[in-house]
Amino acid sequence: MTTALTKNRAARRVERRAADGGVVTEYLGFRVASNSYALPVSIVREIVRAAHVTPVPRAPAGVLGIASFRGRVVTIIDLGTRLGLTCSIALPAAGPLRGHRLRILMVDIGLETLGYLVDEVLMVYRLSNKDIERATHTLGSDAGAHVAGIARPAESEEVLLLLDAKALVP
Amino acid sequence: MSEGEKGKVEFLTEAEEIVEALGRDLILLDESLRTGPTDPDLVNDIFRGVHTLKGLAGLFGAGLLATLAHELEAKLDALRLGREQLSSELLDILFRAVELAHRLLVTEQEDSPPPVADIEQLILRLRGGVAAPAAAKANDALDLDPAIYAVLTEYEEHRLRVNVEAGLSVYRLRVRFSLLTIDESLDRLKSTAKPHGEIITYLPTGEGADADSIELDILLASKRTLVELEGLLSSAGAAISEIGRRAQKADETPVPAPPGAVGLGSDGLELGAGSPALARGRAADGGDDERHPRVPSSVPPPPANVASPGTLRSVTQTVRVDIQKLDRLMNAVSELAIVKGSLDRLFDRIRPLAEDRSGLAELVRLSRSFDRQLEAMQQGILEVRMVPLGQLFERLSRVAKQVGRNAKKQFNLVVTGAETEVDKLIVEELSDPLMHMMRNAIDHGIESVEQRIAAGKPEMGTIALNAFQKGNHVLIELEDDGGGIDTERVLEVALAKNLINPADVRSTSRRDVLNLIFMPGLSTRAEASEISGRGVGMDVVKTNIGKLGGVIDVQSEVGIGTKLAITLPITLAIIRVLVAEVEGQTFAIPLANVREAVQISESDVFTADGHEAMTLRGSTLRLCRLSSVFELDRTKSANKTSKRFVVVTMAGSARLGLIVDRLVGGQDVVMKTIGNSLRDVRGFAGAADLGDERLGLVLDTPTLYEEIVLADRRRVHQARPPT
Repeated sequence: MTTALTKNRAARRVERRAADGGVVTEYLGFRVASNSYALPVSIVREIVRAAHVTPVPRAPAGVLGIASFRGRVVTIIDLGTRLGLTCSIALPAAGPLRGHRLRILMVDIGLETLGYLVDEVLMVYRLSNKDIERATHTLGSDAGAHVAGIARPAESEEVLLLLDAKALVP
Repeated sequence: MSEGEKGKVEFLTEAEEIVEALGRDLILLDESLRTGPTDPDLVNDIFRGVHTLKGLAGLFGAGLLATLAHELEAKLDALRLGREQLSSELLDILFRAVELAHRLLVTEQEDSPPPVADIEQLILRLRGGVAAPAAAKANDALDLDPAIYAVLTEYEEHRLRVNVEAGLSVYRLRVRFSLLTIDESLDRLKSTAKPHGEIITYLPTGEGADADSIELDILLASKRTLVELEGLLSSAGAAISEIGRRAQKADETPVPAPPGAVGLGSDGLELGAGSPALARGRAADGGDDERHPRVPSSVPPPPANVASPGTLRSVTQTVRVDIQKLDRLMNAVSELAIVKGSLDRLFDRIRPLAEDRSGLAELVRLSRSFDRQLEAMQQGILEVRMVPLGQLFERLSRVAKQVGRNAKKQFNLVVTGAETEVDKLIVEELSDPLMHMMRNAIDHGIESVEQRIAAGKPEMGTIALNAFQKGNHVLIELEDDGGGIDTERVLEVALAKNLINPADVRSTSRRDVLNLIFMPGLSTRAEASEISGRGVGMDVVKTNIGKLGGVIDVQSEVGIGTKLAITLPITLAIIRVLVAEVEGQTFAIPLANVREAVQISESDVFTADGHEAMTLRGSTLRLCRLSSVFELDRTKSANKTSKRFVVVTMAGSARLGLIVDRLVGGQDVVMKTIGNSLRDVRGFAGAADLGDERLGLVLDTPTLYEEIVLADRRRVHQARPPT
């Protein structure tokens, strides 16, 4: 009973109808290599401070390594590299990641929880689907690979690139 | 998991249990075919198992399984009613049916296409059985009260007839049981009576029973006389009388029960169709009566609390748990251990500042107690994951019988150590490799009877399957007294298939040649047989066992036999590792695979044929630098000296020395799987918490060995000019 109630409430919060009739979805905004991106709040399980990451030899590019998260081993991915923005952050061997704003977003992708390292977490934006432009229309077809849409939230100056969660799968 | 899925999982587990039990019973049946008279109870048990399976399958809409069970049930019914005789052909069909039922369950689970063609074929075979001439249905030929027949099912009638024809007398035992203890008491009575005869049926009388007890009439066919039986069954407190045989009068008074007997029926014993009590009893007995609607439908069923012999209460005191739930529990406990560690550190920090002395002492005491409980909890979870190998061994012996039959090989399978316990996950993963090894032993190992006689061996081969615990490991050995592995032939094939370098042949030891059977693509049989050689080879067996952190070893003598030995860790959850550092990175090497660790200096390393090696106690040890296989950044290395350590790892009988910078020490760790996203990264068995919230990668040394040695071989092949 309780869980059903909470779930309902959560659903209401995430998908509330906007005044203009569009569906409102909550997005978590974050910064990677001076670009602002966002992912639906519903798939972000948790935001954690960058912790000890153990590098994994032979791992594909963009994989920083593994870290322990709630008793499980989670693969940590450098989102900048994954998006082709930056070369990977120089990772001290088996040491903690430095930078007081660095965060890891724990995201549920399929059956696995993956950690994405971002430079800074911004805030949660409520976006009506009417505010979202389809990326392929504006940025060209090659941008469509991981960007699902573009939004200019009223709350800030940022131009948010909405990421397609499926494209993040390593 | 949705309700539907949950239901499906429960259905699958239950159905699997039934199928497994059927397989077990079939093995017993197979044995009885060879050793002597078949226990009718056994046939009936199998029939009932199939009946339950049919019902279950129907309930869950598993149509194919229901059809299969239905056909099988018809066959077994004919068998138990004596319309068909047990033969090895029939057994063959039954084994095949159980195997197919198992396969159906697997396909159901995996949502893969079911083996429809196989099932159709089997059903045709099931239907095509030769019906034995039906036994004379002439009840009147027997000197039994026809009234008795009226209340019996067809099966009971058949058994009764068989017994009477064999010249046995039929007795009625009237017993009263307390409802609370009826299961135990009835079982006790059955086991007391069994050596002296066969229990045909038991029926509640519905008379003389108060709210807490029930009275049963038991029909027993026995060779013994009435007086003998009374003596033998006196402890059960049963009132015994002889019935049948010249249709005795229904008003015969029962023989007085021995002193101390409970609930002696004082009035006349009526065992006739007209007895409402009996009719009620039959209605309650449910079972297989649908085909014999002798009970008038107007007769109400007995109240539910009158426990009919087939009670609905679960027999076992066990709970089925999804292993993933245990994993989650395990994770939670290890998290708890980490939290406790942080608490301890915090405590150490504030201890000098604290002034409350008695409070501190109390805290220390509580903390110790916490540690003890935590340890008990970890231990408990580990124990829960342990299951005996017995179930797997039973499945194996079933397959062995079937395979032996198909291959026309004669052998005895001797199983020991079925009670040895191993982590559930390991048992699951062991199934395929062991199956394959068993098939190999029968197909390639055991010779034909003629060959065995010619070689002066006993006609009957022997395959021994042994399991035992040895320290933190479990050993499983499969040994046959067959023809052994012909190393010459193995070498020939290996050369023909370019699996080894001709230049190495002279230096290859017998042991190394034997280990070639684990190479992909090596099969010494000219043509692949029906049974083995279907593409999965010993290389797959080796890989699968390696994944479990185990190793497989082979010993063989031509003409004497072959022995395969698997060494496995007892649990995958907690393993002991050697922690080592390379270029500032920490790795854990399972101690199960470590033979020793030695300190060396760079000057000890020499290069032979492009490979780094060293001499260790007179023999050459192939070396592997973890820093180069893992391409670790050497610039950060803190180790500027030439002192290194070599960890000698074992992969079966092969050795490989791993060069590391520093040894940290041994540690018990909880092994965790690495996420699916990194499944293509080879060389790591998992990761483990090494304390301080740091994860260390656990090396998969068998894979590393394979990788390095195979890479060598490949290089050799490429270097060789094409011939």
